[in-house]
Amino acid sequence: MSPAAPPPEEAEILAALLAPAGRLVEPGCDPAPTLPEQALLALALRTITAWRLPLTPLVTEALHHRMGLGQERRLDIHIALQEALTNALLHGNLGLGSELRGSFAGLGLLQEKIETGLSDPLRANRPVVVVARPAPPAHLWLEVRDYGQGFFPSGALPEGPAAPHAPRPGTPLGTPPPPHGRGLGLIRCLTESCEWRQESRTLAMLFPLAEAGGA
Amino acid sequence: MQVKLTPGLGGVEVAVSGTLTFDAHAAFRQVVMAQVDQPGAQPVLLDLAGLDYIDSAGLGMLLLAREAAEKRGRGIILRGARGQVARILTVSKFNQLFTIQP
Repeated sequence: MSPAAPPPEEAEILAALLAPAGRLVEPGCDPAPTLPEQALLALALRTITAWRLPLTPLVTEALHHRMGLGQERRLDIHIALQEALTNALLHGNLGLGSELRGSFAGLGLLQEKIETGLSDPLRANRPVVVVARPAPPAHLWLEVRDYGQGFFPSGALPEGPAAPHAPRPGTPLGTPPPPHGRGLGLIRCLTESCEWRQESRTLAMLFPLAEAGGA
Repeated sequence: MQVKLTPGLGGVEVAVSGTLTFDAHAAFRQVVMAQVDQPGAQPVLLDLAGLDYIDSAGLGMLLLAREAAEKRGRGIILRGARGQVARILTVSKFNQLFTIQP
């Protein structure tokens, strides 16, 4: 069944995140998401809503409003959250692989597959959940949970390149960098630590709140 | 994403502005790649000063552009990145792959 209510708009989401409770669950999420009782922010949106909206700037703005992020930290959180959300929506809830991102022909095909996925209620209504929790002293956990089956086949975060453009381990020297699969590499570079929790399908990212001091 | 082409001494300068994310792939292919994938002695100049935001999909498109330019024996200069764009280029160590100018 389709939800009767229209999807929330940007202003409504931001207002909910700025309110004291800092929570919003979009009606029609299937399965119904479980949000933690204790969180700075907790947000659950259907895949189709999250894909269509500029969700990352809304969440980053709400975090900045609550915590007063420095400019550099704000950029880092924005970049990492965008990559985590893209992975959760594309590879998690929509169940699409990343292999199509390596060519323009592939990107065109991927767009068609995304639209097909968003027209399928089973995938379009899967929630994506974003939770922010303070991590004393002076750190922040940002968790992105999906309800798909894909992304990683096993529990551990797969080994990735140290730098987002660097060849993967085992790649012969001189091989051009792959034009896809940089999202996790970026997240690793921008977080103090990050972990994939397979049982809850959650990517948890830990950010220091202090600025790096000119780095 | 918007693209502005300006003829210059070293060839056409390609100014990309707005947001370079997955949604921009068709426009990037149609306009930017058409400029990059051409023979020429000079490197291709991509002006990013008007670019507000880029994500890993946009970085992937820059890598595809680099690949196409290299096949033509040319390099790519990325000029004028600021804010989030400058930060993500630094974190991704794109200075090892492109000539980056302020």
